[in-house]
Amino acid sequence: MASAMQSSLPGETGPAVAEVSRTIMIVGGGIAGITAAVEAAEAGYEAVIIEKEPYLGGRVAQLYRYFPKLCPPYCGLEINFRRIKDNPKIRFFTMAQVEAISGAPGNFEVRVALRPRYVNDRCTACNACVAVCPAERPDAFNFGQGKTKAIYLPHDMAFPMKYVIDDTACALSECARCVEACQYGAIDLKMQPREVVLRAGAIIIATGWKPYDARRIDNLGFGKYADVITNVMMERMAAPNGPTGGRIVRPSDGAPVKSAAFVQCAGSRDHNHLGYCSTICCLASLKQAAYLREQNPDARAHIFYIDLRTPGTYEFFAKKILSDPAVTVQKGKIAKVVQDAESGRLVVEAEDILSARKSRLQVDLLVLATGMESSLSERSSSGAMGPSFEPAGSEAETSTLRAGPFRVDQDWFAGAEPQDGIFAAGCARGPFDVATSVQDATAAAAMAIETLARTAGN
Amino acid sequence: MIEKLEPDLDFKRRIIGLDARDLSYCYQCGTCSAVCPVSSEENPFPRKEMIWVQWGLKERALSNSSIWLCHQCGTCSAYCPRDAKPANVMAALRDYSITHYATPRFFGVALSHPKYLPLLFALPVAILLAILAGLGNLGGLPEGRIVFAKLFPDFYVEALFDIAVGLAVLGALAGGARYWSAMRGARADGGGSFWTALAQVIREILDHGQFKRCIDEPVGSRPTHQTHLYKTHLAVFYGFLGLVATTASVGVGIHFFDYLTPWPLWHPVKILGNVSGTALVVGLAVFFWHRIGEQARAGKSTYADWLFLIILALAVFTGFACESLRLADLAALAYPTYFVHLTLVFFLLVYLPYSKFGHLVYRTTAMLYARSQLNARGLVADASDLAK
Repeated sequence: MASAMQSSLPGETGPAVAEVSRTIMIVGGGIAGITAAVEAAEAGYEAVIIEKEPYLGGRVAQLYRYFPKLCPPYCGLEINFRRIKDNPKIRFFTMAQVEAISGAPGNFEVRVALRPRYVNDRCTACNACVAVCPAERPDAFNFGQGKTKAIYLPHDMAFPMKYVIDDTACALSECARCVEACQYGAIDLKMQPREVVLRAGAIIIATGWKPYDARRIDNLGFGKYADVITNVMMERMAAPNGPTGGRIVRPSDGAPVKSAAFVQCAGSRDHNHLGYCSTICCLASLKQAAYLREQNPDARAHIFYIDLRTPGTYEFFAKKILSDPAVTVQKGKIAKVVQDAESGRLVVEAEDILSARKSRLQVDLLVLATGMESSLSERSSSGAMGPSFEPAGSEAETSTLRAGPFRVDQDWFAGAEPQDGIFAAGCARGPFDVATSVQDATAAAAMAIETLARTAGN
Repeated sequence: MIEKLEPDLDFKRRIIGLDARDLSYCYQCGTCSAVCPVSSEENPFPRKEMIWVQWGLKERALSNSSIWLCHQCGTCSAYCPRDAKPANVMAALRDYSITHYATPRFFGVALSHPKYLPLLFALPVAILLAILAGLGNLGGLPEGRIVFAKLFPDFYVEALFDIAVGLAVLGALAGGARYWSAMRGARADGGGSFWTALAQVIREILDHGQFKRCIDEPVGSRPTHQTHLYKTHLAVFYGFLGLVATTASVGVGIHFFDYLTPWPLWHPVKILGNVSGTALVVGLAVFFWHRIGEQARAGKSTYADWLFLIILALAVFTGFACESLRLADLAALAYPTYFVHLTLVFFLLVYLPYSKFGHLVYRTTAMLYARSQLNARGLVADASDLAK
């Protein structure tokens, strides 16, 4: 297999040894990407992470707490950041996106576009720039809840701990007040987009997931009523470094939430939306019910489900949360949301299936447990991924490469083989919880190492 | 309490056969009941009908008012996360229940199988031919100015259709009574005053309040066929009522005032007839269009759907054709068309309780039953919110 691959490389005239890289490229710096990089590097291989955001940590950095232990994700991220800092075999690029991949297993060439950060390594995160910045942008880290200045720190524990300028919101050199305010000379408004070409023997696609666009679920009132939010927004709202300083309030008037309803399978297990179960939303809602109850002893949480899916030992977590009488569950999906004319509160309707009656409930907050959509999905509006893959050699020889094993929308669970050299891992490949993503990423690192071994030319 | 369920799998197969083949996808989330604009808090549907059919629980499915309270707006199918098409299942149940409650039973079977269609036509044709033979009119077409009474004297037409309507009413009452007692058997609680409920239901039918509810309370922005249904059914309903009124007025005119047909075109009754017929034609054309062109939203159409729609359309069409051919003085075409017209009207009226036309009986019965239940429990203040 290996020799067949080598003979197909351009410019090869005989079974000569091809240039083989001992580098594994990881596209995506979330928990899966970080894990794959650390695992590969600690096994002695070079790892390079390509991350499109200005920080590593991905979706996990946006979580307030993990289930089932309700511990803060920053903790585990910090440990991983330390492993990255201490290991010279790991390099990473932030604000970077893969443009194109070419070559063959053992010898890929990857073109990476780098967006300018406008802030260099001299930044000490002193915040002086933010104080003078006149422009604002929607806070993407908080899913549009609140705003940041055009120059901002992505989040409290951002790694790398460097500010960044959003050039879609900033007037750059026409303003430049931040440049004057920065006493370290850390701001460089003349930074330009760059392109680098990197080589790698194997590639792991760990570009993660994005929350399903709740606006598509036209009967649940997201975008129509301010008090309808998604589970990821709830995660940010509950977080102390979030838009409300951790207070769970009604977005419409800022009043504390006394009663919240959770719609499970909002866009999941639905042929109109995502056809599969997103696996984490039931547990996320149980967890968020706990957030609410911790804050407000009078608050009530109502979870409306089709099937409450808490696989394996997560059952114990569900039992613990549901032992609280103020957290109730009802079989029957909320499918209609209206606003009470007098109180302005939301009225949700569902059929209570066990009693075969329609129930109506007035709540302060409606949380849509939206599912996970792979960043590789065709439907992905951000176009976050989509590097074109240009295999070397003739079509016949490259057919074993599969026309892009990371096009998982066609086959969500498609697993790549070592001879493919490109592997999807974590939530790019399927809807996983964090623990499963980490295991999946470790497996992908092992597969990538196997690719390097196979193509080592001996 | 342990209840022994007796699944009737043949029933399930029959419902699936009536274009409800996606039924088994249902995973009982209740989205359909929650988005349904007409199902009530006490009696939400169609989620429970889905599981009743899945499990072959025939008696439960057929002895509930829900299947006829549904006005087929299709919102449930538009929002069903499994594409299990609850609206198709409800339509199939209605289809089945007309056959099920048909009295005498044979007519129910005959109206639901194409193979009996020739027999169903043979009956009125034979009767009409017998009348013609008895009158000695079989030999040739009447001479002179076209007057349909020359072929079938008014007395015979009246007598024939009085008997036909009488039989239809008997069949309707028998079927309706069986459905009513089945509903009573399934839910033992008592109902309120029948007459109060009747007044409320008649008002609801006249203003098409249930159809309108499907438009007034949309659950989201997804297209269903709810918007067209209210207006189209209204046109067909009042068109049909208008034609009934026209026919009744003509009968009264002939019988009590010796005012013989044909009446002049400017006569108010004649105008009523023509306007009603036109409304009916337009409404039916829209129904045809949606059944053919909008299958995804309207749900598939069964034999019973097509039979009813086509017979009704042909009856109206031949009615207009008779009028036109008479005015055009084409006797050779006018009299045979009149014969066909009478056959079709006979078909419509006599088979009313057993064809899809029976929805007039069963839907009214279901609305009456549901209304009297609600009244008994004091759940509603006025007739405009049956569904609340």
